[in-house]
Amino acid sequence: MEDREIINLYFSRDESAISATDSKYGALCRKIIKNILSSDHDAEECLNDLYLSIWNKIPPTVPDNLRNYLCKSARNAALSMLRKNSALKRGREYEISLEELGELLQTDFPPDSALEEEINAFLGLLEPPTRRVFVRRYWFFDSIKEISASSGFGESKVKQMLKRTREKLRKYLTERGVKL
Amino acid sequence: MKISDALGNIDDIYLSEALGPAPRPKSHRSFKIAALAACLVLAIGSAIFLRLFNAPEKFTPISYEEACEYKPCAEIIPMLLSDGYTLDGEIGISGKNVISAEFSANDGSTGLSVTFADSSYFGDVIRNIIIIEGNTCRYYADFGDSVVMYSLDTVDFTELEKIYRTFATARPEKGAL
Repeated sequence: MEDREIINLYFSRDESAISATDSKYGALCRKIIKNILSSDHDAEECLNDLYLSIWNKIPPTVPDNLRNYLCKSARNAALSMLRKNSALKRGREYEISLEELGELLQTDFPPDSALEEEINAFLGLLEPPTRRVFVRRYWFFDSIKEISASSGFGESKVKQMLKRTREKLRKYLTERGVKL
Repeated sequence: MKISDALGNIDDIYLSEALGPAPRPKSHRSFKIAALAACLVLAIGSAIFLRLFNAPEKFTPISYEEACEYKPCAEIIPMLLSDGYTLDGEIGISGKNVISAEFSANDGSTGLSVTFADSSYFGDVIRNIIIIEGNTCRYYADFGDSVVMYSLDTVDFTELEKIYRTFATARPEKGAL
């Protein structure tokens, strides 16, 4: 089913919108959530919360890109669930990727530091394959093995690309006066 | 705000790019045949080239201690190691007195390849000037009988200039290789 048709189902308050969403994007959302939340039970609960949240938001929201909208919502839902309940176990790859960010993660940037714009500008400077690897690791929290399989790069190459990109990001932010 | 929060708000364009398939080489039959033919031509061409120019066929890994027995390595590698670079993998030596080593900047920002060889090994390549080749930049330092090639895997003139100026003082002596 086309995304436009799924959105129309939401607008007509047809509950089959949820099954259509699950059928087309359930696996993708589940994977994102599962990378952040370790437990299958928590992940399923989070996915159900996500579908309810989407049902409540569309309408009035009309996503430009339903897939991206669902991915962002799934990521936010899982992270929000973690924040609300610190007793929940974090996903392994999420944990490792946070450790990799090291000193960058320790820094508390001021809310008005335009950090989001700086990061988007930085991503714009990267070569597409490098950017894809970086986003798959730190946005989707994919494992090195998964990134290697999907990108065609060897695992050591992926690690090296990530290491260099993190260093470039640190340098980029420092040059723009961000104190780390 | 944490950087992880900022990373969560990346532009849709980058998200779509990451969700899309990674570019992979096409695997059409004709492409495979063409690739096979190209490999064959390359193999024959390489064999002729190696025979004509008497270039080394392969590098044999040697230990750091063994490498240090060669004068230029003994002088230059410790300097590289102490100047922000770490040896990446093994040092290689060919049967034709060519020594090659790969380094990574300690801050992970770049990779550096250094090759010591007799002057004839590098053929007619222009010496003592920075050469850009794609995303790399190189410098062939001419020491008369010997040449040292420094190759950075980023185009960074300043860094490359710093490297070859620093290590020019550790020039290989005649017959050291």
